[in-house]
Parts: sequence; C-alpha cells; structure tokens
Amino acid sequence: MQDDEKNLDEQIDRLLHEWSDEIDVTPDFQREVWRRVEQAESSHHALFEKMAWWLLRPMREVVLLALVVLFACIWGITHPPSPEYSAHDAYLISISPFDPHHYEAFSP
Amino acid sequence: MSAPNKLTIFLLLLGVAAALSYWGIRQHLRSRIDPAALGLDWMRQEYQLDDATFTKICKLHERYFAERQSMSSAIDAVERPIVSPTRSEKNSTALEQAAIKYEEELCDRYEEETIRHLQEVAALMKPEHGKRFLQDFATNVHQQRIEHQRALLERAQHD
Repeated sequence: MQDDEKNLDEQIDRLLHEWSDEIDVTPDFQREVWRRVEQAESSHHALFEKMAWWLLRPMREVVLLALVVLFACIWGITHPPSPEYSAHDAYLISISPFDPHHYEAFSP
Repeated sequence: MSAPNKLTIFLLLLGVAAALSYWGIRQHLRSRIDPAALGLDWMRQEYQLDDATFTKICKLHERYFAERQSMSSAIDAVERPIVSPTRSEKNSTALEQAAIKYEEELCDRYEEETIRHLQEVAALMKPEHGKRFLQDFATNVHQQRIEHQRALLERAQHD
C-alpha cells in the first residue's frame, strides 16, 4: 500500500517536471487561472439569472401563481382540519343551550 | 432591480399566496364542521345503537336542535342588556337585577327541557347505556349552566 503511494508521488513529480520543461508559462498565467475560477464560481449565479429571465414573463407568472394556489387548495382539501373539540364535546355543544360556543360574549 | 432579485421577490409572493390559500381553505372547511352530525355519529358508536334506534334518536334530535336554537337565541336576547348595556341600562341597577333574575328563571326552565330531552334519548338505549349517557350529559349540561351564569355575573360586575 505504502509502495503504491510512493510510486504515484514519483509519477506526479516526473510529470510536473516534464510539463514545466515543455510549456512556457506566461506572466498572465496566474491571473487567467483566477479568472476561470471566478467564472466557474459564478456559473450557478448565471443559471439563477437565466431562470429568472425565463420565468419572469407575465403569462408564466400568472400560470405559476395559479398552479401554486391550486396546489395549496388541493392540499388543504385532502388534509382537512380536525375540529377544535372532541366528538363527545361536539354532541354536548349541539344539545346544551348553555355551551359557550353559542354565545359570542362567552365563547372560549 | 436585477432579475434574480425580482425572482426572489416573486418566489416569496408565491409562498405567501400558497400560505393564504391553504389557511383560507382550512378556515372554510373548519366552519363547515357540523357539531350535531359529528356528535350523533359519535353517539351511535359509543352507545352501540342499531339502525332502528339510531333513526328514532335522530328524529328526536331533529326536533330538539330547533328547540335548542331558540333557547340559545332567547338567552342571548335576555342577556344582551346585562352583557353590553346601553347608557340608560347601565345606570339602572334595578333593570339589571330584573334581567339577571329573569335570565336565571329562563335557564332553570331550559335546563329542565334539556334534561327531559336527554331522558327521552336515554330511554331508547339499552338500560346500562342509557344510564351512562344520562349521567354524563346531564352532569355536563348542569355544569355548563353554572359556569354560564357565573360568567354572566362576572361580566355584569365588570361593566
């Protein structure tokens, strides 16, 4: 295992040595490398901008808004709220004339 | 404003629209929950009522629910000058005392009517179930009546 790593390091050293002998490095080399790094970093920002330009059209905005509202309504209907009271209490509410739910001034 | 900023604002607005729609639908559905239907369904299971008994009990309730509605309306009308008196009513202690006394008599009568209804329902059930039903709801109705009047007197003292 250790022999393999040693061999790999030696190979990389040899390649680097060969590369620096063959290619003439210009003075702007470093700046160019950094420019490319920045470009790569901002690529996802560009993607977001592209998406924004594609999406921000009145028709698309309206369609998306309608879809979101529709989805929220369907979700609400398929996940109905449970009542604030138990079924036992529901019966009591329905029969007792004294239940606070019948009176705004005393409602819980 | 740049396109990404516009998109961020638009996405936030979409989130708000979704939340409002979901909340609105839930409020609407919650307001449509009928305690009477929910309560009767529960009663059928809780007291193991067969179809014939349940039909009879539903008929009894149909009549009673209208009665209960008019009882609540009458209590509400009598309590209005006590809970939110006009300026002239506020100055008249005698008027307030009379209203409280009348309200008490009304509640006595309505409690009796409610217990009578509960007894009629209990009579249709198996004896052990009827006894349990009556004990449970007669106690609850009486407790609510006491709490209701206590709350009314507290409101009258505060106003």
